[in-house]
Amino acid sequence: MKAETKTETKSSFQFKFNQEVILLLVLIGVIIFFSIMSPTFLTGGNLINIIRQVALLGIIAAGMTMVLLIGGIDLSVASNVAFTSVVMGMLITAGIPPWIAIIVGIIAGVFVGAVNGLIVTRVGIPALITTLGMLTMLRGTTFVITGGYPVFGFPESIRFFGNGYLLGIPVPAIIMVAVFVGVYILLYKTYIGRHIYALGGNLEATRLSGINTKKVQMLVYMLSGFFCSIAGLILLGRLNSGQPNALQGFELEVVTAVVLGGVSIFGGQGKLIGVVLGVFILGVLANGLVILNINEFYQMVISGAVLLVAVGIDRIYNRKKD
Amino acid sequence: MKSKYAIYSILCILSIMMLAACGNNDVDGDANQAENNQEETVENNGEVASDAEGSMKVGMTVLDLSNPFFVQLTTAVEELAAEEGYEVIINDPRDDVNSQIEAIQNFVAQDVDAIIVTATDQNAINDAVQEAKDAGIPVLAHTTKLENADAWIGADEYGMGLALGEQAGQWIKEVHDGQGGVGILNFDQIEQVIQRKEGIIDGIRQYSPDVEVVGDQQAGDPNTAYDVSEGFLQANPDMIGIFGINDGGALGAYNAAVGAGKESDTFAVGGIDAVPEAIDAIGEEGIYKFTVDQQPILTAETIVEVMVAIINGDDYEVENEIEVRGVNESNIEEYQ
Repeated sequence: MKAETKTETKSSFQFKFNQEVILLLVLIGVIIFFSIMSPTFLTGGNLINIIRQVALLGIIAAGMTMVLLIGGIDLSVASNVAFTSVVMGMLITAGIPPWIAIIVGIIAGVFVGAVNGLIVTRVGIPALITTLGMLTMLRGTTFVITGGYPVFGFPESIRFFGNGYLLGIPVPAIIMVAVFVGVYILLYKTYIGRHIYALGGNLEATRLSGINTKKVQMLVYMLSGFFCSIAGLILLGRLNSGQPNALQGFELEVVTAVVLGGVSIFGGQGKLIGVVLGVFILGVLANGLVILNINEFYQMVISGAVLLVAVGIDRIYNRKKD
Repeated sequence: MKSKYAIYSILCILSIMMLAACGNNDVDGDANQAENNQEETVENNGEVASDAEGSMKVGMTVLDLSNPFFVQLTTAVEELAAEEGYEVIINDPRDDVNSQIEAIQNFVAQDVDAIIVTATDQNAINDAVQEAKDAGIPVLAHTTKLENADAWIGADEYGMGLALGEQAGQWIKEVHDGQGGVGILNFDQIEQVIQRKEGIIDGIRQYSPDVEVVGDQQAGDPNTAYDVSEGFLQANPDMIGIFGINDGGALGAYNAAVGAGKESDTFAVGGIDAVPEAIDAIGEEGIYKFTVDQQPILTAETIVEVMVAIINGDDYEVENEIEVRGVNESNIEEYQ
């Protein structure tokens, strides 16, 4: 924010928007558009809906941000969410106390991340291929353990994680904010965050400067897995069932949100605040287009176009930098 | 140079995935009503040939085995065919027309005795079906009719929608004097499912002609349907019901309606497929009121019966329509 006011005062004619300002303007523009088009859009109830609806996307995107920053990618996220959600669900229906089932599910999610990290760092398969393999393998595993059937029949308390409120705020939204704050602190207030950025900028130089790059990579993939399991818990509560085919293709939406937020797909560049804005732009679009009852096919066209326009504006204004 | 190459490969892979994701939304399908034969199903899917020599083989390709309806259908066909001495090779094309064509060609190469197809796209697989016919292999079409197939077995998509719409229309007539706004969860990406939606709307209007469709959005899975339904309820606080082309979507609407504080005496949700979750929900006599049973077991029985008749050269019906049943609190005990 500081940077933006500085540049504007410096030269009144030549605007130098940074990515976050452009995204903020896009978000405000979209909100104004929907508010004009529908009287029910800008109401407290609907804003709560939006925050709750973006929670899954936001939580997974927080992990994906770090993965992209180190120059990797995690395509297994959506499969991991479905997997952990089903694991928790099956354990609960098997009579295991819910809190133990949830812990086991979280461990399973982190374990998947660890396997991704091990393959990338030790075997040396590129992250794109590693996690693509994991995407398919994990989805298959989820179908195998459930036989393709949804898991259901939980105590009412499970709904709390998806549909509950604390002090009038939806629980998924609280969890999302906590995740963003946690990732913010990790990225900008600790040395690990500096290592993450350094690693994405230049892996070899970072390694030679004495940083244990493999350790940092492992940590990032495990965190991605951890956030997936948290998302899995929210999904379990939200749907009150474990759906083996939930969120198929959702990894693309996550990558879209993160890239829309200005994170470079080659690592090292991008800010978490941009990703938060990217997540909300996609969430507001999805919600507003439904409220206007616009056909799904047009929704797909519009969502894709917004991505290209937002990233395109940034490219044009900041071309000189490159 | 290197980075350019990387961009291209990423784009390639992402676009392939996008295509796959579009096809995989698991909706196309149909009824579920799963029972407890989960483990068995899994084994069956993987298994191809066990008692090889001399046994007669049948190839079966469905839409997507992540849909419980097809899990149940293929399991039942496998069991019933085994009683007649046939081994069933099951293919899961995951909604991809290309892999279905390959599967049919593989069946022809294996010289199976019959092929059962739930077509992903009737025009696209016509040539492959013709190849089978040319090789003298009878083809049975399930759900989607195929020009050159020997027989058709299936429930009418429009009829399925109608069965849900009629239940909903009667309820709206009784409770709301035939007035009010409803939301529809569609899956317009697939042609047959559009007919299902039309059936739902026509069924409602048969009893309550003044009902207004205030929202019509694509949502075939619980998570998408949850968001969409929240949007419906936000935009139309007075609406009286949400009806989906499958139970998966309707279950999302159900959770959203419960979350929005809707009451069961004035608000209704209904779907199609009779999946166990929907059966449970209807049994609780809450907001979830209706579903439609596509009778997968009856379908499997008819398929095997017709198949055996064709192979043996006996008389058989070319068109076999499977009757669908509305499920609501009046007959829910039969399903519990």
